[in-house]
Amino acid sequence: MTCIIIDDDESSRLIIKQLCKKYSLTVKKEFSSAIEAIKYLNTKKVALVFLDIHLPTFSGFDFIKTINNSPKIIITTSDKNYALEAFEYKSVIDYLVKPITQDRFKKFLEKINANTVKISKNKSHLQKENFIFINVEKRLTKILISDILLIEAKGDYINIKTDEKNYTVYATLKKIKDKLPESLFLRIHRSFIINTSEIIDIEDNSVLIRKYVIPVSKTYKSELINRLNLL
Amino acid sequence: MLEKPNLNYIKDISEGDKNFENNLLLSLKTEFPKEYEILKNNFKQQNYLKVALNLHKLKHKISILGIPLAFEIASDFEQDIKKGHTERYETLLVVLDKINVYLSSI
Repeated sequence: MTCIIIDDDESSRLIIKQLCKKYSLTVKKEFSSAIEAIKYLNTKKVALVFLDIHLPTFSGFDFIKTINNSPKIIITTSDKNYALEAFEYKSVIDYLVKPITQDRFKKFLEKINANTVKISKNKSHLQKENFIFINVEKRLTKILISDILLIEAKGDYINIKTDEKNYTVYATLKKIKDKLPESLFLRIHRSFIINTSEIIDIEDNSVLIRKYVIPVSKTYKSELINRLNLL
Repeated sequence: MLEKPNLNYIKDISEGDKNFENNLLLSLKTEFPKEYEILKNNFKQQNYLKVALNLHKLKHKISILGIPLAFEIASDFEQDIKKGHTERYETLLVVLDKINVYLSSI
């Protein structure tokens, strides 16, 4: 898979390059200016762009707004505060807070691979273990498990949130938890199960999943911490 | 008390790749003092928004060196200076000086 890096900080570029090298991503070119990167992308194609937000004169968000036929964008920044804004853009697929750890980079790659699996699955036959069928208004609807961001209990119903859509289903959290891979999903509150590969950050008693701030209860916090590969 | 800077993060990412370690350290040793000087000059000239931008770049280098308290001090000052608050500038300088000394010693 090919990528470019846009970051005005040399140390950041070196680290991202090293991680790419380790996990077999090909860095085609690196840029300290977003404008130079746009010129490059006008004539060349890459799958991924690692993009810093704080760039001189032309910011990362300016880049996202300007680029046509955007490759998938991974925001890389020391600032956690832009996550909500970043995920407003469809081309943004992940948000890596610097300094980027190996563990977080691996999770990002798992997500990319899951997306690749999704595309290839659309072309091939249905594989039972990657999907779940849910009953929505008397219709059985197929959802790719890796698309599920989180599940919230709402009385006798559960609300399944995915990238594209939210589904309200008559079921319990326990019932759906039994159908999901333990390696990926974790209960963090009596009303919430989350996809751990989608965690952006954890602060005190809450977790940020895309634009959703989810509470973590004391009962489940230690299990959540155990799941993380903390430095 | 401020933690001592360390190379744990760099070692973790490098996994023994000495070439990478040397390049990254060289970059830190070259860029940090330069950016620090620019920050001080911008502060003198009361270009506070530029100070915030300078500090933002320095923050990444601080985080690489595994000193969360220093990172917190820098983050707090970055917010302060955007609003024109300069009270904690001396504290920031102590932190950045220590890092500068550390980088020149390795």
